[in-house]
Amino acid sequence: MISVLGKLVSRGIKDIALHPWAQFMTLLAVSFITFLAGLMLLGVDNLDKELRATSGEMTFQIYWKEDVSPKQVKSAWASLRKMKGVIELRTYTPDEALKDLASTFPQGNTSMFEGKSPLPYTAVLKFAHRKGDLAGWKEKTETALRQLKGVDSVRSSSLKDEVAKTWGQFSGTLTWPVIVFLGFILSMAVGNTMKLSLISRKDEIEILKLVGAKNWYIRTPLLVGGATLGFTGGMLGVLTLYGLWWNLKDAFNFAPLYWEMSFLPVDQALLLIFVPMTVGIISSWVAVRS
Amino acid sequence: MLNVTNLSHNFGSYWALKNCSFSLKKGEFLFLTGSSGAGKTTLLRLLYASLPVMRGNVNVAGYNLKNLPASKVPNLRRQVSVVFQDFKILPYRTVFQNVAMALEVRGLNKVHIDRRVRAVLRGLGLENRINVLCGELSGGEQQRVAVARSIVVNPQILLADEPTGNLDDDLAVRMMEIFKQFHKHGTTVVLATHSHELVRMHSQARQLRLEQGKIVAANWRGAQVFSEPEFGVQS
Repeated sequence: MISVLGKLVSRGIKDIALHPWAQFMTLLAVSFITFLAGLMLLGVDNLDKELRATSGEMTFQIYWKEDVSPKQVKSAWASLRKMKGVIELRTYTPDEALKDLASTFPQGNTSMFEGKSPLPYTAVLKFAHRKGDLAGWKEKTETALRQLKGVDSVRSSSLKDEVAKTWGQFSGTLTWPVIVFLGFILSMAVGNTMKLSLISRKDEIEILKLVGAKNWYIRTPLLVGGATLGFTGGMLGVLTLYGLWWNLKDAFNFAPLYWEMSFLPVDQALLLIFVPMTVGIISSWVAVRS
Repeated sequence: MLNVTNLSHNFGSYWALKNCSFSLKKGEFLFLTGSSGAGKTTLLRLLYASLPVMRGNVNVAGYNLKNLPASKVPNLRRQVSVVFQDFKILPYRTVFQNVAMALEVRGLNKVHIDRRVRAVLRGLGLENRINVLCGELSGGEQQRVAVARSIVVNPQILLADEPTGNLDDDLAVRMMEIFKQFHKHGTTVVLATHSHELVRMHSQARQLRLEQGKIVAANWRGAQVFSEPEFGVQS
């Protein structure tokens, strides 16, 4: 039984050579579709990772009144550092704030304001990623910061969180329909090639039926052919994607992004190989049955 | 071994077979004769389940073909071999591969297949053509390959549809000798032909003549010659 199966599997692989051009074009189509799906997953995965890493982070900018004493401000900075969940605190005296602001201008020269900077004492306070009632926590923290002695105003930014939320909704809505669509095209391509194989083997199938071959005996080589096309196409697609990633992984690794792209996780890469293979088997099965 | 009762078959409004009844015992040799369009091929196709039995009953090698499930058809065809006028062999496969195909589908081991195929090909004088592609063989050789594929499995029943139709007289006689030799080993043979000459040469065999789908003559009691009033009454 095992040797018969082995023979049928090897026949299925050999039969791919019966229509080399059709099979080659199908292989290209499968590889291309896998590559496109992979590219999409790569983009989604990397953006997702980046946004997840920063999602839930909250940054507050605290500005002190003009007449506040430096001692009072420094004591407030010390208490800010001790707050729960703080991951970063950047502080600016009026002169430092001016210098920082000037550095963003092409010809920043602040010497004329030396010692009489119009900017207030400032602190940028960043809190770590947190889950749960973010809005409630934000309001509570903002109120607490505003009550610090000498504080003039407090601003908060949750832009990344909003972007993450929007991205989550967008990717959730779009990714799966696109992948299903690509899968459909994949099944059409493989299914039609299998139909071609079936037509070319019509005489052989008729004779096999006449000599008492059972359906599984006739269908196995065709299913193997579909699986081989799907598997090889998937492999080629993933390898091409890997090549592209290898060349572009540092393309966004510069200031201020510092975004180093990572390749797909192993499970997703395997999925990109085994999904076309499964689609190949299913579409061959449908072609053979009809 | 083979029992046909009130068998009728139509293609649309055309009745290819009308109320045919006959039976054959194991090891009998039947010549099915009649002109083109008499219903010989339809009858044979019904006997190997290439057409569904719609009216009447057919029992072949223990299989009742009326409502035979599709999954059982391969089992029937492992008992019933068929030789066609157009050979139905694969020109891009070798003689050995064409003949071995019938054994391979049965899952037999390679050694057994090799031994059996070589023995049959030797018997048919094809031992020195074993690795030749069938497309390169003459018509007579191709016909012998088709016969080899049919007999290599030792079927209980051998059906042949005009097996000598494409052969010259000498080859036709040789082919008949092969069928007779095979029949001697106990296989039931049903051979459809429109050659009266061939039938005359084997007058001791069972003969059944079809005309316009009806059995109009038979030389043994196991066959029922058509009687008009009964046709269409039974289903």
